[in-house]
Amino acid sequence: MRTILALAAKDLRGESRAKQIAPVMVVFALTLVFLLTFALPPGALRAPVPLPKAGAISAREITGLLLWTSIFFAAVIGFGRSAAADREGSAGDGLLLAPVDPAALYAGKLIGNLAFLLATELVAIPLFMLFANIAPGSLLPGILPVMLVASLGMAAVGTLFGAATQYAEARSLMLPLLAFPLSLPVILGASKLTSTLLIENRFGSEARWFILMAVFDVVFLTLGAVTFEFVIEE
Amino acid sequence: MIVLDGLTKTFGRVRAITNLSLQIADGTTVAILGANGSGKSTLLKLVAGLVKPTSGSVTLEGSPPAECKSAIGYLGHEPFLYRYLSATENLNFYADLYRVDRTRVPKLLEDVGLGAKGASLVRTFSRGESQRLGLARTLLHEPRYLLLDEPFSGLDETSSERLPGLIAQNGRTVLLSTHDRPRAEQVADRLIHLTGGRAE
Repeated sequence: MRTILALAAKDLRGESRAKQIAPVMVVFALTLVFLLTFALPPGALRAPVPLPKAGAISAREITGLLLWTSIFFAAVIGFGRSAAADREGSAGDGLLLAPVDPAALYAGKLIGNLAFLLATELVAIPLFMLFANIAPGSLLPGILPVMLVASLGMAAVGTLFGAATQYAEARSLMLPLLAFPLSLPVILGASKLTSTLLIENRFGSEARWFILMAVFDVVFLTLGAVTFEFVIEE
Repeated sequence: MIVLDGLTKTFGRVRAITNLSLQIADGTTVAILGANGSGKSTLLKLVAGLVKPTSGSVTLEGSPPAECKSAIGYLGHEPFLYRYLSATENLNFYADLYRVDRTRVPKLLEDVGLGAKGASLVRTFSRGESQRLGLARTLLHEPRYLLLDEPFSGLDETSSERLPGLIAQNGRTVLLSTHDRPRAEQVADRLIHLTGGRAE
Protein backbone atom coordinates (compact mmCIF):
# COMPACT_ATOMS: atom_id res chain seq x y z
CA MET A 1 0.00 0.00 0.00
CA ARG A 2 2.92 2.34 0.79
CA THR A 3 4.21 1.78 -2.75
CA ILE A 4 0.84 2.42 -4.36
CA LEU A 5 0.36 5.66 -2.43
CA ALA A 6 3.93 6.76 -3.17
CA LEU A 7 3.37 6.22 -6.89
CA ALA A 8 0.05 8.08 -6.92
CA ALA A 9 1.44 10.92 -4.78
CA LYS A 10 4.44 11.22 -7.12
CA ASP A 11 2.15 11.70 -10.14
CA LEU A 12 -0.19 14.11 -8.38
CA ARG A 13 2.63 16.19 -6.88
CA GLY A 14 4.47 16.35 -10.21
CA GLU A 15 1.31 17.38 -12.05
CA SER A 16 0.46 20.04 -9.45
CA ARG A 17 3.69 21.75 -10.60
CA ALA A 18 3.93 20.79 -14.26
CA LYS A 19 0.24 21.34 -15.08
CA GLN A 20 0.66 19.32 -18.26
CA ILE A 21 -2.17 16.81 -17.85
CA ALA A 22 -5.36 18.01 -16.13
CA PRO A 23 -5.50 21.53 -17.67
CA VAL A 24 -5.00 20.08 -21.16
CA MET A 25 -7.73 17.51 -20.55
CA VAL A 26 -10.14 20.18 -19.28
CA VAL A 27 -9.50 22.55 -22.20
CA PHE A 28 -9.87 19.74 -24.76
CA ALA A 29 -13.08 18.42 -23.15
CA LEU A 30 -14.58 21.90 -22.92
CA THR A 31 -13.74 22.70 -26.53
CA LEU A 32 -15.43 19.52 -27.69
CA VAL A 33 -18.55 19.86 -25.55
CA PHE A 34 -18.87 23.52 -26.51
CA LEU A 35 -18.64 22.68 -30.22
CA LEU A 36 -21.08 19.79 -29.95
CA THR A 37 -23.65 21.66 -27.88
CA PHE A 38 -23.25 24.70 -30.15
CA ALA A 39 -24.39 22.53 -33.05
CA LEU A 40 -27.70 21.80 -31.32
CA PRO A 41 -30.67 24.14 -31.90
CA PRO A 42 -31.32 26.51 -28.94
CA GLY A 43 -33.45 24.86 -26.23
CA ALA A 44 -33.11 21.46 -27.91
CA LEU A 45 -32.20 19.77 -24.65
CA ARG A 46 -35.35 21.06 -22.97
CA ALA A 47 -37.68 20.12 -25.85
CA PRO A 48 -40.04 17.16 -25.36
CA VAL A 49 -38.85 13.78 -26.51
CA PRO A 50 -40.76 12.74 -29.65
CA LEU A 51 -42.94 9.67 -29.67
CA PRO A 52 -41.25 6.61 -31.17
CA LYS A 53 -41.27 7.10 -34.89
CA ALA A 54 -38.91 5.93 -37.61
CA GLY A 55 -35.99 8.34 -37.84
CA ALA A 56 -37.16 10.60 -35.00
CA ILE A 57 -34.65 11.31 -32.28
CA SER A 58 -34.46 14.03 -29.66
CA ALA A 59 -31.35 15.98 -28.80
CA ARG A 60 -31.60 14.66 -25.26
CA GLU A 61 -31.19 11.11 -26.50
CA ILE A 62 -27.76 11.85 -27.94
CA THR A 63 -26.59 14.24 -25.22
CA GLY A 64 -24.90 11.51 -23.21
CA LEU A 65 -22.94 10.35 -26.23
CA LEU A 66 -21.75 13.91 -26.98
CA LEU A 67 -20.61 14.36 -23.39
CA TRP A 68 -18.87 11.03 -22.85
CA THR A 69 -17.17 10.92 -26.25
CA SER A 70 -15.71 14.34 -25.46
CA ILE A 71 -14.58 13.18 -22.03
CA PHE A 72 -13.07 9.99 -23.43
CA PHE A 73 -10.88 11.80 -25.97
CA ALA A 74 -9.79 14.30 -23.34
CA ALA A 75 -8.96 11.33 -21.11
CA VAL A 76 -6.83 9.69 -23.82
CA ILE A 77 -4.75 12.87 -24.10
CA GLY A 78 -4.25 12.82 -20.33
CA PHE A 79 -3.35 9.12 -20.17
CA GLY A 80 -0.77 9.58 -22.92
CA ARG A 81 0.77 12.57 -21.16
CA SER A 82 0.79 10.73 -17.83
CA ALA A 83 2.68 7.81 -19.41
CA ALA A 84 5.10 10.28 -21.02
CA ALA A 85 6.08 11.59 -17.56
CA ASP A 86 7.63 8.18 -16.85
CA ARG A 87 9.37 8.17 -20.23
CA GLU A 88 11.15 11.49 -19.64
CA GLY A 89 14.61 10.93 -18.24
CA SER A 90 13.83 7.20 -18.52
CA ALA A 91 12.26 7.49 -15.07
CA GLY A 92 10.09 4.48 -15.88
CA ASP A 93 13.24 2.33 -15.93
CA GLY A 94 13.80 3.38 -12.33
CA LEU A 95 10.41 1.84 -11.51
CA LEU A 96 11.32 -1.37 -13.35
CA LEU A 97 14.52 -1.72 -11.35
CA ALA A 98 12.78 -1.32 -8.00
CA PRO A 99 11.61 -4.39 -6.08
CA VAL A 100 7.96 -3.50 -6.58
CA ASP A 101 5.05 -5.73 -7.54
CA PRO A 102 4.01 -4.69 -11.07
CA ALA A 103 0.37 -4.79 -9.92
CA ALA A 104 1.25 -2.07 -7.39
CA LEU A 105 2.85 -0.02 -10.17
CA TYR A 106 -0.38 -0.36 -12.15
CA ALA A 107 -2.54 0.56 -9.16
CA GLY A 108 -0.45 3.62 -8.32
CA LYS A 109 -0.53 4.87 -11.88
CA LEU A 110 -4.26 4.14 -12.11
CA ILE A 111 -5.06 6.23 -9.04
CA GLY A 112 -3.23 9.23 -10.51
CA ASN A 113 -4.99 8.87 -13.88
CA LEU A 114 -8.36 8.44 -12.20
CA ALA A 115 -7.81 11.60 -10.15
CA PHE A 116 -6.93 13.60 -13.30
CA LEU A 117 -10.01 12.27 -15.10
CA LEU A 118 -12.43 12.96 -12.23
CA ALA A 119 -11.00 16.48 -11.86
CA THR A 120 -11.60 17.06 -15.57
CA GLU A 121 -15.19 15.82 -15.30
CA LEU A 122 -15.87 17.98 -12.25
CA VAL A 123 -15.08 21.02 -14.37
CA ALA A 124 -16.35 19.85 -17.77
CA ILE A 125 -19.74 18.45 -16.76
CA PRO A 126 -21.08 21.57 -14.97
CA LEU A 127 -19.87 23.73 -17.87
CA PHE A 128 -21.44 21.32 -20.34
CA MET A 129 -24.72 21.73 -18.46
CA LEU A 130 -24.28 25.49 -18.70
CA PHE A 131 -23.52 25.46 -22.44
CA ALA A 132 -26.39 23.09 -23.14
CA ASN A 133 -28.81 24.98 -20.88
CA ILE A 134 -29.51 21.89 -18.78
CA ALA A 135 -31.06 22.47 -15.35
CA PRO A 136 -28.66 21.17 -12.65
CA GLY A 137 -31.42 19.03 -11.11
CA SER A 138 -31.75 17.07 -14.36
CA LEU A 139 -28.35 15.43 -14.02
CA LEU A 140 -27.33 15.90 -10.40
CA PRO A 141 -26.80 13.90 -8.29
CA GLY A 142 -27.54 10.93 -10.55
CA ILE A 143 -24.57 11.49 -12.83
CA LEU A 144 -22.09 11.13 -9.94
CA PRO A 145 -22.17 7.29 -9.80
CA VAL A 146 -22.02 7.23 -13.61
CA MET A 147 -18.87 9.37 -13.46
CA LEU A 148 -17.26 7.06 -10.92
CA VAL A 149 -17.96 3.77 -12.70
CA ALA A 150 -17.22 5.11 -16.20
CA SER A 151 -14.03 6.91 -15.13
CA LEU A 152 -12.69 3.83 -13.37
CA GLY A 153 -13.18 1.78 -16.54
CA MET A 154 -11.59 4.40 -18.80
CA ALA A 155 -8.64 4.84 -16.41
CA ALA A 156 -8.17 1.05 -16.17
CA VAL A 157 -7.89 0.78 -19.98
CA GLY A 158 -5.95 4.02 -20.41
CA THR A 159 -3.35 3.21 -17.76
CA LEU A 160 -2.69 -0.22 -19.25
CA PHE A 161 -2.42 0.91 -22.86
CA GLY A 162 -0.71 4.19 -21.97
CA ALA A 163 2.12 2.09 -20.52
CA ALA A 164 1.98 -0.44 -23.37
CA THR A 165 2.36 2.20 -26.07
CA GLN A 166 4.74 4.59 -24.35
CA TYR A 167 7.80 3.35 -26.23
CA ALA A 168 5.99 2.82 -29.54
CA GLU A 169 7.01 5.16 -32.34
CA ALA A 170 3.41 6.10 -33.20
CA ARG A 171 2.26 6.17 -29.54
CA SER A 172 -0.01 9.21 -29.97
CA LEU A 173 -1.87 7.21 -32.61
CA MET A 174 -1.67 3.81 -30.97
CA LEU A 175 -3.21 4.77 -27.63
CA PRO A 176 -6.59 6.05 -28.94
CA LEU A 177 -6.61 3.33 -31.57
CA LEU A 178 -6.41 0.63 -28.89
CA ALA A 179 -8.29 2.35 -26.07
CA PHE A 180 -11.32 3.59 -28.02
CA PRO A 181 -12.76 0.27 -29.21
CA LEU A 182 -11.97 -1.39 -25.88
CA SER A 183 -13.66 1.40 -23.92
CA LEU A 184 -16.87 1.30 -25.97
CA PRO A 185 -18.85 -0.57 -23.28
CA VAL A 186 -18.21 2.15 -20.68
CA ILE A 187 -18.71 5.00 -23.15
CA LEU A 188 -22.00 3.48 -24.34
CA GLY A 189 -23.12 2.70 -20.79
CA ALA A 190 -22.32 6.15 -19.46
CA SER A 191 -23.95 7.76 -22.53
CA LYS A 192 -27.13 5.74 -22.17
CA LEU A 193 -27.39 6.39 -18.43
CA THR A 194 -26.77 10.14 -18.86
CA SER A 195 -29.35 10.48 -21.64
CA THR A 196 -31.90 8.45 -19.68
CA LEU A 197 -31.33 10.63 -16.64
CA LEU A 198 -31.92 13.73 -18.76
CA ILE A 199 -35.13 12.35 -20.27
CA GLU A 200 -36.71 10.58 -17.30
CA ASN A 201 -34.90 12.06 -14.27
CA ARG A 202 -34.15 8.48 -13.19
CA PHE A 203 -32.30 5.46 -14.53
CA GLY A 204 -35.27 3.08 -14.54
CA SER A 205 -34.62 -0.16 -16.38
CA GLU A 206 -31.47 1.32 -17.97
CA ALA A 207 -29.76 0.94 -14.57
CA ARG A 208 -28.66 -2.47 -15.87
CA TRP A 209 -25.87 -0.61 -17.71
CA PHE A 210 -24.26 -0.13 -14.30
CA ILE A 211 -23.81 -3.91 -14.07
CA LEU A 212 -22.18 -4.10 -17.50
CA MET A 213 -19.86 -1.20 -16.65
CA ALA A 214 -18.95 -2.65 -13.26
CA VAL A 215 -18.11 -6.01 -14.88
CA PHE A 216 -16.02 -4.16 -17.45
CA ASP A 217 -14.18 -2.32 -14.65
CA VAL A 218 -13.42 -5.54 -12.77
CA VAL A 219 -12.23 -7.31 -15.94
CA PHE A 220 -9.85 -4.51 -16.97
CA LEU A 221 -8.59 -3.84 -13.44
CA THR A 222 -7.74 -7.53 -13.13
CA LEU A 223 -6.23 -7.65 -16.61
CA GLY A 224 -4.14 -4.56 -15.86
CA ALA A 225 -2.86 -5.91 -12.56
CA VAL A 226 -1.99 -9.30 -14.05
CA THR A 227 -0.45 -8.18 -17.35
CA PHE A 228 1.26 -4.92 -16.35
CA GLU A 229 4.51 -6.78 -15.72
CA PHE A 230 4.68 -7.93 -19.35
CA VAL A 231 3.42 -4.61 -20.70
CA ILE A 232 6.18 -2.50 -19.15
CA GLU A 233 9.04 -4.89 -19.80
CA GLU A 234 11.48 -4.45 -22.68
CA MET B 1 29.50 -13.15 -7.51
CA ILE B 2 28.26 -11.99 -10.90
CA VAL B 3 28.33 -14.75 -13.51
CA LEU B 4 27.74 -14.20 -17.21
CA ASP B 5 27.43 -17.44 -19.13
CA GLY B 6 27.41 -17.41 -22.92
CA LEU B 7 25.60 -14.10 -22.91
CA THR B 8 24.34 -12.85 -26.26
CA LYS B 9 22.05 -9.92 -26.97
CA THR B 10 20.81 -8.92 -30.41
CA PHE B 11 18.62 -5.98 -31.42
CA GLY B 12 17.11 -7.00 -34.73
CA ARG B 13 20.12 -7.95 -36.86
CA VAL B 14 22.59 -6.08 -34.69
CA ARG B 15 24.60 -8.14 -32.20
CA ALA B 16 25.33 -5.95 -29.18
CA ILE B 17 26.87 -8.69 -27.03
CA THR B 18 28.25 -11.95 -28.43
CA ASN B 19 28.70 -15.11 -26.38
CA LEU B 20 30.22 -13.35 -23.38
CA SER B 21 31.24 -15.45 -20.38
CA LEU B 22 32.64 -13.75 -17.32
CA GLN B 23 32.89 -14.08 -13.55
CA ILE B 24 33.20 -11.07 -11.28
CA ALA B 25 34.20 -11.82 -7.71
CA ASP B 26 32.46 -10.19 -4.76
CA GLY B 27 34.00 -6.98 -3.49
CA THR B 28 35.89 -6.17 -6.67
CA THR B 29 35.61 -3.15 -8.94
CA VAL B 30 35.65 -4.00 -12.63
CA ALA B 31 35.85 -1.40 -15.39
CA ILE B 32 34.53 -2.17 -18.84
CA LEU B 33 36.36 -0.24 -21.50
CA GLY B 34 35.41 0.16 -25.10
CA ALA B 35 34.56 2.56 -27.86
CA ASN B 36 31.05 3.86 -28.50
CA GLY B 37 28.81 1.02 -29.66
CA SER B 38 31.05 -1.69 -28.25
CA GLY B 39 28.25 -3.05 -26.05
CA LYS B 40 29.18 -1.57 -22.66
CA SER B 41 25.77 -0.07 -21.92
CA THR B 42 23.92 -3.15 -23.14
CA LEU B 43 26.07 -5.34 -20.91
CA LEU B 44 25.25 -3.25 -17.83
CA LYS B 45 21.54 -3.26 -18.70
CA LEU B 46 21.65 -7.04 -19.04
CA VAL B 47 23.24 -7.39 -15.60
CA ALA B 48 20.70 -4.94 -14.13
CA GLY B 49 17.83 -6.90 -15.68
CA LEU B 50 16.62 -3.95 -17.74
CA VAL B 51 16.99 -5.96 -20.94
CA LYS B 52 16.74 -9.70 -21.36
CA PRO B 53 19.43 -11.83 -22.99
CA THR B 54 18.75 -13.30 -26.41
CA SER B 55 20.66 -16.35 -25.18
CA GLY B 56 22.88 -17.24 -22.25
CA SER B 57 22.35 -16.08 -18.69
CA VAL B 58 23.24 -13.55 -16.03
CA THR B 59 23.20 -14.49 -12.36
CA LEU B 60 24.02 -12.58 -9.20
CA GLU B 61 24.56 -14.85 -6.20
CA GLY B 62 23.05 -17.61 -8.32
CA SER B 63 19.82 -15.74 -9.05
CA PRO B 64 18.69 -13.87 -12.15
CA PRO B 65 18.60 -10.05 -11.75
CA ALA B 66 14.79 -9.97 -11.50
CA GLU B 67 14.98 -12.00 -8.28
CA CYS B 68 17.51 -9.81 -6.50
CA LYS B 69 16.46 -6.28 -7.40
CA SER B 70 17.12 -4.97 -3.89
CA ALA B 71 20.77 -5.97 -4.25
CA ILE B 72 21.28 -4.02 -7.49
CA GLY B 73 21.96 -0.32 -7.94
CA TYR B 74 22.09 0.87 -11.54
CA LEU B 75 22.96 4.29 -12.92
CA GLY B 76 22.57 4.61 -16.67
CA HIS B 77 22.95 7.48 -19.09
CA GLU B 78 19.72 8.94 -17.67
CA PRO B 79 19.39 9.48 -13.91
CA PHE B 80 15.80 8.02 -13.67
CA LEU B 81 14.55 11.12 -11.86
CA TYR B 82 11.28 13.06 -12.05
CA ARG B 83 11.87 16.59 -13.27
CA TYR B 84 8.96 18.16 -11.42
CA LEU B 85 9.91 16.69 -8.03
CA SER B 86 12.62 18.14 -5.83
CA ALA B 87 15.83 16.25 -5.09
CA THR B 88 14.53 15.23 -1.66
CA GLU B 89 11.11 14.22 -3.04
CA ASN B 90 12.77 12.06 -5.71
CA LEU B 91 14.89 10.24 -3.13
CA ASN B 92 11.96 9.91 -0.71
CA PHE B 93 9.94 8.36 -3.53
CA TYR B 94 12.64 5.79 -4.26
CA ALA B 95 13.10 5.20 -0.53
CA ASP B 96 9.42 4.20 -0.41
CA LEU B 97 9.81 1.89 -3.41
CA TYR B 98 12.85 0.17 -1.87
CA ARG B 99 11.32 0.24 1.63
CA VAL B 100 14.27 2.19 2.97
CA ASP B 101 14.06 4.65 5.84
CA ARG B 102 13.69 8.21 4.49
CA THR B 103 16.06 9.49 7.19
CA ARG B 104 18.96 8.33 4.98
CA VAL B 105 18.10 10.94 2.35
CA PRO B 106 19.65 14.14 3.85
CA LYS B 107 22.96 12.38 4.57
CA LEU B 108 23.06 10.97 1.05
CA LEU B 109 22.41 14.40 -0.45
CA GLU B 110 25.32 15.73 1.60
CA ASP B 111 27.53 12.87 0.40
CA VAL B 112 26.98 13.76 -3.26
CA GLY B 113 27.40 17.49 -2.60
CA LEU B 114 23.74 18.40 -2.99
CA GLY B 115 22.91 19.09 0.64
CA ALA B 116 21.87 22.66 -0.12
CA LYS B 117 19.72 21.70 -3.10
CA GLY B 118 17.34 19.22 -1.51
CA ALA B 119 14.31 21.46 -2.07
CA SER B 120 15.21 22.38 -5.66
CA LEU B 121 13.27 20.83 -8.52
CA VAL B 122 15.32 18.44 -10.63
CA ARG B 123 14.34 20.36 -13.79
CA THR B 124 16.56 23.20 -12.57
CA PHE B 125 19.61 20.93 -12.15
CA SER B 126 22.65 20.94 -14.41
CA ARG B 127 23.78 17.72 -16.09
CA GLY B 128 26.40 17.14 -13.39
CA GLU B 129 23.94 17.76 -10.54
CA SER B 130 21.43 15.36 -12.10
CA GLN B 131 24.19 12.78 -12.43
CA ARG B 132 25.13 13.20 -8.75
CA LEU B 133 21.50 12.94 -7.67
CA GLY B 134 21.16 9.86 -9.88
CA LEU B 135 24.13 8.39 -8.03
CA ALA B 136 22.44 9.16 -4.70
CA ARG B 137 19.32 7.34 -5.97
CA THR B 138 21.51 4.39 -6.94
CA LEU B 139 23.20 4.23 -3.51
CA LEU B 140 20.02 4.87 -1.49
CA HIS B 141 19.22 1.22 -0.74
CA GLU B 142 22.89 0.30 -0.17
CA PRO B 143 23.09 -2.23 -3.04
CA ARG B 144 25.66 -4.98 -2.94
CA TYR B 145 26.09 -4.77 -6.72
CA LEU B 146 26.64 -1.36 -8.24
CA LEU B 147 26.36 -0.96 -12.02
CA LEU B 148 27.47 2.41 -13.34
CA ASP B 149 27.32 3.41 -16.99
CA GLU B 150 29.83 6.19 -17.70
CA PRO B 151 29.59 7.49 -14.10
CA PHE B 152 32.24 10.21 -14.63
CA SER B 153 30.36 11.71 -17.54
CA GLY B 154 29.18 15.24 -16.76
CA LEU B 155 30.94 15.40 -13.39
CA ASP B 156 33.37 18.16 -12.52
CA GLU B 157 36.86 17.33 -11.24
CA THR B 158 35.90 17.53 -7.54
CA SER B 159 32.91 15.22 -7.98
CA SER B 160 34.94 12.80 -10.08
CA GLU B 161 37.55 12.57 -7.35
CA ARG B 162 34.89 12.00 -4.71
CA LEU B 163 33.14 9.25 -6.70
CA PRO B 164 35.50 6.29 -6.05
CA GLY B 165 35.17 6.77 -2.29
CA LEU B 166 31.38 6.77 -2.55
CA ILE B 167 30.99 3.68 -4.67
CA ALA B 168 33.57 1.32 -3.19
CA GLN B 169 32.10 0.98 0.29
CA ASN B 170 30.98 -1.99 2.38
CA GLY B 171 32.69 -4.61 0.21
CA ARG B 172 30.47 -3.72 -2.70
CA THR B 173 30.94 -5.28 -6.15
CA VAL B 174 31.17 -2.55 -8.76
CA LEU B 175 30.86 -2.92 -12.51
CA LEU B 176 31.36 0.34 -14.37
CA SER B 177 31.73 1.30 -17.98
CA THR B 178 33.96 4.07 -19.26
CA HIS B 179 36.08 5.01 -22.22
CA ASP B 180 38.46 6.91 -19.90
CA ARG B 181 41.30 4.39 -19.44
CA PRO B 182 43.39 6.42 -16.93
CA ARG B 183 40.35 6.88 -14.71
CA ALA B 184 39.46 3.19 -15.05
CA GLU B 185 42.97 2.13 -14.03
CA GLN B 186 42.71 4.41 -11.01
CA VAL B 187 39.48 2.95 -9.61
CA ALA B 188 39.26 -0.62 -10.88
CA ASP B 189 40.81 -3.89 -9.72
CA ARG B 190 40.31 -5.38 -13.17
CA LEU B 191 39.81 -4.02 -16.69
CA ILE B 192 37.78 -5.70 -19.41
CA HIS B 193 37.93 -4.40 -22.97
CA LEU B 194 34.82 -4.85 -25.11
CA THR B 195 35.01 -4.71 -28.91
CA GLY B 196 31.95 -5.42 -31.00
CA GLY B 197 30.22 -7.05 -28.06
CA ARG B 198 33.13 -9.45 -27.36
CA ALA B 199 35.54 -9.35 -24.45
CA GLU B 200 39.24 -9.13 -25.25
